[in-house]
Amino acid sequence: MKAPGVAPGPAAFFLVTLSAAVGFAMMLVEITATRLMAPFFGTSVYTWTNVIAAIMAALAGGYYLGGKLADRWPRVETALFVVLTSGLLTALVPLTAPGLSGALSPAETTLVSTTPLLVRTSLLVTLVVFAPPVFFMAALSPVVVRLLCLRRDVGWASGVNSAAATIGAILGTFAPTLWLVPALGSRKTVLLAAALQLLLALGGFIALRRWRPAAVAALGVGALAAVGLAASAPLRDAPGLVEEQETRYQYARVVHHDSQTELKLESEVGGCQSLLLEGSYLTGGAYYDHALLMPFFAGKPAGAPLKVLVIGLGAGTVARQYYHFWGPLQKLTVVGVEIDPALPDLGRRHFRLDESVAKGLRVVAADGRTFLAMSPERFDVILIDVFSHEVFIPFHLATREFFDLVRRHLTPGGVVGMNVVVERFPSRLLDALEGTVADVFGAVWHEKLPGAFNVQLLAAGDGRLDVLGARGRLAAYPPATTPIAEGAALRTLLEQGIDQVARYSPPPGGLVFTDDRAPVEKLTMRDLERFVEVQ
Amino acid sequence: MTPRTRAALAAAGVVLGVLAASERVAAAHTTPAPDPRLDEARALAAAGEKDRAAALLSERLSAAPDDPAVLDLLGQVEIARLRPDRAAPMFQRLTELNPDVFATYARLGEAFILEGRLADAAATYRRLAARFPRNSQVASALAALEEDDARIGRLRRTYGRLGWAVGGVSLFWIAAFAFAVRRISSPPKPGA
Repeated sequence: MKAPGVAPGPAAFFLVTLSAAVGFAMMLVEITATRLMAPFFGTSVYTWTNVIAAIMAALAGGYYLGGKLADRWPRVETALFVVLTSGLLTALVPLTAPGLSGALSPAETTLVSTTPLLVRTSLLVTLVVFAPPVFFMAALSPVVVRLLCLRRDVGWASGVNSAAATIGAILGTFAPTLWLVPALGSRKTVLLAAALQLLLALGGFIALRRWRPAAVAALGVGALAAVGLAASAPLRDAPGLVEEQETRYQYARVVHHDSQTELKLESEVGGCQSLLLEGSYLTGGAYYDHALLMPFFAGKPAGAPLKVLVIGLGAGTVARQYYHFWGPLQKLTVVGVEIDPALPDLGRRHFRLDESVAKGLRVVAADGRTFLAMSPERFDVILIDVFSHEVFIPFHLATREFFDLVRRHLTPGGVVGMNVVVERFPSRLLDALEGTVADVFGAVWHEKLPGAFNVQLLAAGDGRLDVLGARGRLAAYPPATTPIAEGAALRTLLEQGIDQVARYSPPPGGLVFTDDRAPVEKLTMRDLERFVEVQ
Repeated sequence: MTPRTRAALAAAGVVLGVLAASERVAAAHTTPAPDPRLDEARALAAAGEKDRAAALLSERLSAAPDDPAVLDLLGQVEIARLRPDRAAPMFQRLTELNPDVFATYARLGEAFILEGRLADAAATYRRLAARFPRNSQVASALAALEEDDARIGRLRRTYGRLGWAVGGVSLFWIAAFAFAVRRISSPPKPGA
């Protein structure tokens, strides 16, 4: 069939612009998809894999269908109808994604062990909500190529279209991460992608004097404006929500209930990343309290300098505790490294981080490993409390190479402690982590926290952890000459903890995480799946 | 960790904490029969060398399989070694040898929770609640565990249903896609 095609000039330029704009919108939707689902399902590598796989499937289908459309109706209107459809479907995303995600997040999502369930649910939401608009976005490309190549060579048409779409996609990759999401939020970012498509479709239909579809596009734009103004409600409303923020790295919210304030990230419900109990420096026996055990192992004389590095500062719970419980006894300096600068900001507003800053806390916005690689400083105590996507330890902070960096930043007699959350014992993840630490430090100990599933891994720079010496120093805490509020309560709590300290002997030939091979997420997920299966 | 499981574990921890304190007091006021090997195992455990303590106690247990003191200490050492799968049989045997010791049930329950066997932990706490009906901590730990166990059951069923839902939606899209392709591929009507 002979088709009219598009002559070089404004129409061709418009089609290439359309390709670039849709490429831009496609990446906005893809990148923002995980952010819209994060409050419900987290953003683990599995969620990302679901999004990418489902979107690739939609792309494949869209390209194929677009080719059929192009052969059947090789007209500019076809391209405009495709963009109009994808624009309308994109506009539905901010409404349907949180709604469907919330509906599919039953009460069981209060369990960390629902992570395997959340992975499947995120796949379902991606297939229902995000795949349809992407399908139509992909369908545009063959139509544009077909229209361009009728008056020009196929190679030129295909190359120009691909280049334009890819340039749009590059811009669509940077824009949401660096600018749009922090400035507008996820929902308005997606609405922007929808508005862009609808406005281009509207302009095209007006130019062709196709008033009915133009009216649909105009209505869509109007509806978007209304929805955009209303898109200021919390992404995930919850009792006691004090503040929520879409940071560059994650979805963070501060929740207050029963005289305690908690910092929660992503889909986290049961646990928290930072904790403040009104009227107390302790946290009811949570991990943070047990992190205070480390200086007893370091055994620094009273009044001597004590330099502490906290990798994974969050909102600053541990730093605040260190300045209260150790500040009066040592010349204390705490350096807190946090990759997400928004979390210390939340700490200043809700977790009294400024108190610690006034006492000397130095907050560094950096990745923990990058900080160690760049810093010449050495520390008496290094605390590692790092989780990405709630339960997963970032793999590059769990490898032999990382712990080697940690060891080189310890002073003589320095010690390191690492917080690990395990839902079920024995755990292959924990075995591998302990094996890795032992491989670097020569020996590893762990402390199972009483009444919790947290385990604190312990190691000393010289390979010898003086447990008996620490017991003796703990028994004398706080010194009679320096009263410390809640000091006795801390001692009682840590005495229970030190009873649980056990040296771990890794099995010969056990897994050691390296930068080349560290299946941290796979082992975490396997532990969680086994927890559900064993019931 | 689930808030409920945390509550159960915390309740178990409180129970065990009270026990530990009372045992310290009891130890200070009683003079147990001297047992150098047990003392050595205790000293090793206190120094964090629980692997060596476990080896020593296992050796001792092979000579006297039903020694309550060894079973109890070895069970506690295995918990600290994060091997609740090895600790549970010790405490189970202890409940058979002496069914009236509160601490043994509490420790057995904790071992089951750490192993992820919530139903077994709930059964243990039920036995404990039956024997010590006035203990509110046991009752609250049991209630938390039973609720958690029920939640996990619902979770497993939802997990299965979600697999079917994902498959169903995928099939729907494939069918819609095939239908659309077929419609578009059909020859245009004359005059179109």
